[in-house]
Amino acid sequence: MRQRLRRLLLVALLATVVTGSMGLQPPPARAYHSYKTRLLDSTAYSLYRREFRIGLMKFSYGMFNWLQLSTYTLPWIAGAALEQVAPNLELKSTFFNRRRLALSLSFEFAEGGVESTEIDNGELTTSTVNYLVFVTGLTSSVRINSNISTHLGGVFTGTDVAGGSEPTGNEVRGVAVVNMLQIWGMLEWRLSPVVALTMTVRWLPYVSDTVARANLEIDDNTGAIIGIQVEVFDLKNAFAAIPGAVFSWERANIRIGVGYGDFFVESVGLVVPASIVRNISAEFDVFVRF
Amino acid sequence: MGETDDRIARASENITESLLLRRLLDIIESVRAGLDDAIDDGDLSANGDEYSNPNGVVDIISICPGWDLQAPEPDVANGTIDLTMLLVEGRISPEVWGTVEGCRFLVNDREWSFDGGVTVHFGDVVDVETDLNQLVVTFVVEGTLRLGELSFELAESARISAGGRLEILIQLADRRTFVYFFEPDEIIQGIRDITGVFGCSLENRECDKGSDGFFW
Repeated sequence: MRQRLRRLLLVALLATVVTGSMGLQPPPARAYHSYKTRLLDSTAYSLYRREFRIGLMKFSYGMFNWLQLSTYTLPWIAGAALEQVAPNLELKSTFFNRRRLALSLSFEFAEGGVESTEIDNGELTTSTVNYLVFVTGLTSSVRINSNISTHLGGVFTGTDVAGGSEPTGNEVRGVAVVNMLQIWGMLEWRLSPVVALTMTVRWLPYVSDTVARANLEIDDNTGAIIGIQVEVFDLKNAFAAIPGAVFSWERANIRIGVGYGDFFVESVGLVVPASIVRNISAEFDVFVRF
Repeated sequence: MGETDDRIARASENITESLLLRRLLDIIESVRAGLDDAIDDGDLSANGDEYSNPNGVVDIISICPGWDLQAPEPDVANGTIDLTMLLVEGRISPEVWGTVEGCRFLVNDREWSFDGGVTVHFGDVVDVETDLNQLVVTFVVEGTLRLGELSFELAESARISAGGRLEILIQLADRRTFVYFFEPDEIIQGIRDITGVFGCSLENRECDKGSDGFFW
């Protein structure tokens, strides 16, 4: 009886030690700029396994040490406001990370639609614009020393935007397709575990001529798709130079930057011409990482 | 001439009875009319934007009517006509080309079908306002035309003028060419070559031009 009691006490003690040690273990240092904790945006680095990043602009989860899943919030918010589901998902893989060099490959798709109804010449007209965006990126990060890193990348964006209005007799419905290649570089200088200064330069060396497609309905049996060639003058050689900073505390992070040039929308890999944004290009996010 | 008169008669019969060229031209003309509606003063409205004097490609897809005229819906099983037209500064490029796949159609209750390639030429760039039926239109068709169980290999260059005259380009074994024409009533027919115009009768196997003539 006494021996059985001793065994039970031993098991209870072991269970207490094990569960206590799990529960009382302090969380690992997830944030602050450190050798292990690197910037995630515009770099080749991704979250570690089971790490989360929840921010204003992006939600991410570290599926494995080398694979991060993310979704951008802007398309969801815009989609909710317009009552259109706008799914988007990004997969980023840091497939190489040894010594001073890290390489990553990312792929993102975003899909959604915008619908509006208006009265045109006394007729009720429904307009819809549906978009499909594919973004593929290759990034390299080099740690020059403990304080300075450089990051270089290329992003190819393919878009397919469809829209039109109905009803009329020979209604033309349109689709615009544009592809673009973005090259960017970022210099990172860590002043302290909290503050990292960044200088980002983005350039758009290639933008395809847009092919605007219009669907011409003739009758029940016959239709035609018109592919119209349109040159995208505004975006060729678009660029931006953005000085910024990333502040990192135990969990909270702020990324902020304001610069000159065209506005590169990271969430969908697209560019807003400088003429529309008055040459102000910005970066901003607030997020927690845990 | 003896070896070609059968070919002329057969080509003429197939082309005129199947109405194949007419069907192709009708489809292109309907698209031309659609473009005319969509393009106003050289500006094409699409997707909320206006494209001035657009350059581009028009892919035309037409589902063939099939042999059952009572069918409620167009059915791709009846075959398709897939044509490509180019827009040059808001005008139609002179050449339209494409393929016809298993296209079934009914003419005078007879079941025709065609498989092959087609090229249509208008001679010059055409304004979208211009009715294509008013032009001299040249067709090059190459493929297999079927009527019920019968099958004909078609490899012809033919032209339809505004009045409905059909002209078939005939190439002889020695590569010389001449044009054999049929007026719409098919009673008046003949040869047009560099020496002039001959009135001919394939039935009587003779052609003549005033005092000049030949028979075979």
